[in-house]
Amino acid sequence: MSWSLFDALVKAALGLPAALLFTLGAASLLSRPLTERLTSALARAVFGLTALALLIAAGLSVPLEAQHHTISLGHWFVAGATSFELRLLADPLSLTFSTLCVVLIGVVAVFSDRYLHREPGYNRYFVSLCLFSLGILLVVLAGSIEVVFAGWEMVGLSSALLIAFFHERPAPVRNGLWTLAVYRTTDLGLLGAAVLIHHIAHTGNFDAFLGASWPEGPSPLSSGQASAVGALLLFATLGKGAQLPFSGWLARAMEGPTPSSAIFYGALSVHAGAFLLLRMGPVLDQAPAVAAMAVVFGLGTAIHATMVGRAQSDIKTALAYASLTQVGIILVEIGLGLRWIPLIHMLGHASVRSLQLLRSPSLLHDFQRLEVAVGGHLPRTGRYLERLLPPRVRRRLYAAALARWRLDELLLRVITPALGLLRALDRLEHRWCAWLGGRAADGSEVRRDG
Amino acid sequence: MTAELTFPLLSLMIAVPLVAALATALGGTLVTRRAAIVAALIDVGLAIAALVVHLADPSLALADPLDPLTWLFGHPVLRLDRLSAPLLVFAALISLVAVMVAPRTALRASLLRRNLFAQAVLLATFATREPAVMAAMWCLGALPPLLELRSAGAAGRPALRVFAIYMGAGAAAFIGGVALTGGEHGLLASVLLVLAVMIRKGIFPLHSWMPELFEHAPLGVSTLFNAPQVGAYVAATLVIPSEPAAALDVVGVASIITALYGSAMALVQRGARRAYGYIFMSQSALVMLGFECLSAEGVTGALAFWLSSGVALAGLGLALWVLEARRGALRVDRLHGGYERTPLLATMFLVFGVGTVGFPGTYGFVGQEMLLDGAVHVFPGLSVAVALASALGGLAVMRIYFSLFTGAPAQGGLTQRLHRRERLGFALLGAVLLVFGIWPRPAVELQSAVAAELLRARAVAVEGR
Repeated sequence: MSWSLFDALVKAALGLPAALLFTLGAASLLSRPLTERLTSALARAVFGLTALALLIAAGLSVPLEAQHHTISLGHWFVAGATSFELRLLADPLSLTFSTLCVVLIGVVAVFSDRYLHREPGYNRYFVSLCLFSLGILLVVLAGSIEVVFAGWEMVGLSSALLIAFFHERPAPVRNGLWTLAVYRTTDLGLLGAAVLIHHIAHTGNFDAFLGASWPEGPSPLSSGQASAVGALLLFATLGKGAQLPFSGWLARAMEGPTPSSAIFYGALSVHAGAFLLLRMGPVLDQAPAVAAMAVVFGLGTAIHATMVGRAQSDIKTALAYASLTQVGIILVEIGLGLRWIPLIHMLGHASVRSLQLLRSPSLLHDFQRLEVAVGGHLPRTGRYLERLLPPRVRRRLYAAALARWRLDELLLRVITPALGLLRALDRLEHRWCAWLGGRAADGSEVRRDG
Repeated sequence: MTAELTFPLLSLMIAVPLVAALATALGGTLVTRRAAIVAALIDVGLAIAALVVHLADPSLALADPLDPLTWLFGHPVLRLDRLSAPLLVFAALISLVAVMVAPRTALRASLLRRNLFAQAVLLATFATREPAVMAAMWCLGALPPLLELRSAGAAGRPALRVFAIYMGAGAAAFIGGVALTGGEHGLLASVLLVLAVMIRKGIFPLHSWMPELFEHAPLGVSTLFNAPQVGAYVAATLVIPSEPAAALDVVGVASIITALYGSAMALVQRGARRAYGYIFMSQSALVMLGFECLSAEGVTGALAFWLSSGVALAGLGLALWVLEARRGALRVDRLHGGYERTPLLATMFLVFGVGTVGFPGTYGFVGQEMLLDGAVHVFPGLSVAVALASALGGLAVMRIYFSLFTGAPAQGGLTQRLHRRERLGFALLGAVLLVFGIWPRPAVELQSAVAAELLRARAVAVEGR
């Protein structure tokens, strides 16, 4: 009875946001979008109930000793030797993090109701938020790599759509597309890992390559296999977690509405990569070189982000870099083989950072109150660190931080020649078709503008 | 003993659009449109009936007393099997939606009659496995786009020539391949058939006609010509069962290159139509890749992706046609704005767009998962290129979406909301994409059985050789 109740609660935690997404999406597609009041009431009810379901499940997991409990939602499809099983995994890691996810999403949904009141894209925002919540819950509760990938893609698309939410201006759209480009490129790592795992284990189920229970494992993969899988997963993490050299997109992502920035880049989306690496801990244990790379990238990102964040002049970007610093440190912890500390770090950081981002529109008011309370200007922190460096070095570091280490320019240096080559190929295509079509012979022009 | 059902289901399906085209020969645009919608609706109904009958008892043979070519070949030419039954529904559905959403400003009675003709030819192609009939349908199928390009006058002439050269070469190769099959020149027949399929599917380097056609012909016509992917049907029925593995490997590698090249080229296009043409080329090439894997996963994935990419690409092309009718020529190197004037069309465009590149929740995701699984065993190194093609394709789709629907709102613009007919048409395609995306099991089971049949037929042919 208890196990069936436990399973039903975990299934409900996925089913409720999915039902909300379906309801809001269908209403929009039928050109009958729900009113703000109804949308808000449904969102509160769904995320409240989902949080309750997960809390009860987490409570039940203690007497049931659910250290590694898999829940099958059935075989989604079967073809030849490939069987795609919709499989969830309920263990301390997934239950803890999914509960945090739903609580924070619920808080953000309540906040968004007022923040976006009478905004023309109110309904569009909530559809994207529901898509995100379903995606992140799939990533966290997944019991197989394919389910992770499905959720991962949903998180990516909803993120790009919300960055471009204020789409009347070109900048949010450009930044949404840039972020999506980084996501799509680094998602290849996760896709590659999924295909490789299937190739090795003939299934994507976690049991087959992560061992019996998290965090011990041990992974049955050989050291070489684990290194290949781990490297691909780390690549995916670098993109989603905005780690070096892909950090530039995070500041661009601040173009989205503040509540979505809070939940995506303060709390959950930015931690999705770290969560993935944490889940894949047993694979990293088998691949010390990849774990070392995680430490290097994490440390590099933490140094980069703390420097750049200190030179930013707007609060959202400064908070984004502060967030990045912590994610970098979490990656270092994971790379060093710690498992519970990074989890606790993620829970604490996600909660504090989303609160800070949600408060950021009231920053001036908050500062004023604080200054009134202390009876003067607030003291500037960190000066003793700056004094350790000579002024010339300080100026250079400041200039580098202000330019955000020119990371996006570096990426553009890779992209621009590739686009140039494609444009040259396009010209060739046009010439070939013009020649074949006898344009020179009869003088007629090939229309080029669609 | 095999049970037999005598009913002219298939010949009726082919005759209905032809009768509608003839009956409206002198009619105006609106009458012809109404007739075309009714004809397509009847065809969808008949095709669903055929599918249901076949699924209820797969051993039941359908005898068509009106099969028009039995006297010529000495045996029935029209047949219903596991492969053709869902394809007929797919073809009839795309034809129906193409006529339902056709914008009034772009409509002419002649275009509608050509679409009716194309519908009949398409259904006849999917209802037969007789190579000679398929060759004839192959040639007839190219007529509607040819006539449309000719109607465009001097502006369409270069594209007409490009299309005619490629289609002429493809038809010659197909007819040659069919004629030589079974004779002394087996190898030449194989090469010709493979070449024909590569041309018709727009596989690199024989692809240049495809973006040209999408750029210059009415989108309804070019979509109806390409979305059902007749080349894939020829590959499934004539190439997979008998052609040498080396030929299939060549097509497989060429398909991977096409997928990558098409999705990358879509990123640098300025015109929306041409960008769509490259996305089409890229994603539909993945179907061929799955076939060439010759594994249960690969072929099932190819069949699934054939239907999903066909539906999604058709939806994307038709949405572009509808938008173009409201706004004129569309570019993708600037932001057009106007989301608030066409929110539903923007949403549908997004759904079809992400469906095209296999986003979770659409049937394309299912097909792509199996395709990649199949490809990694056969082309382990090159499967990275498949994943990259998918990534770039997704980016290209989103670039088009953002450029067409985001940007500063148009001041004082009239509403451009979809009509009920258009909404219904897009909803039909969207529902197919999403319902099978969420509940793919029945479709995959059917396609898995078809894949097993195709692979069995190949094993028998290889053994016989």
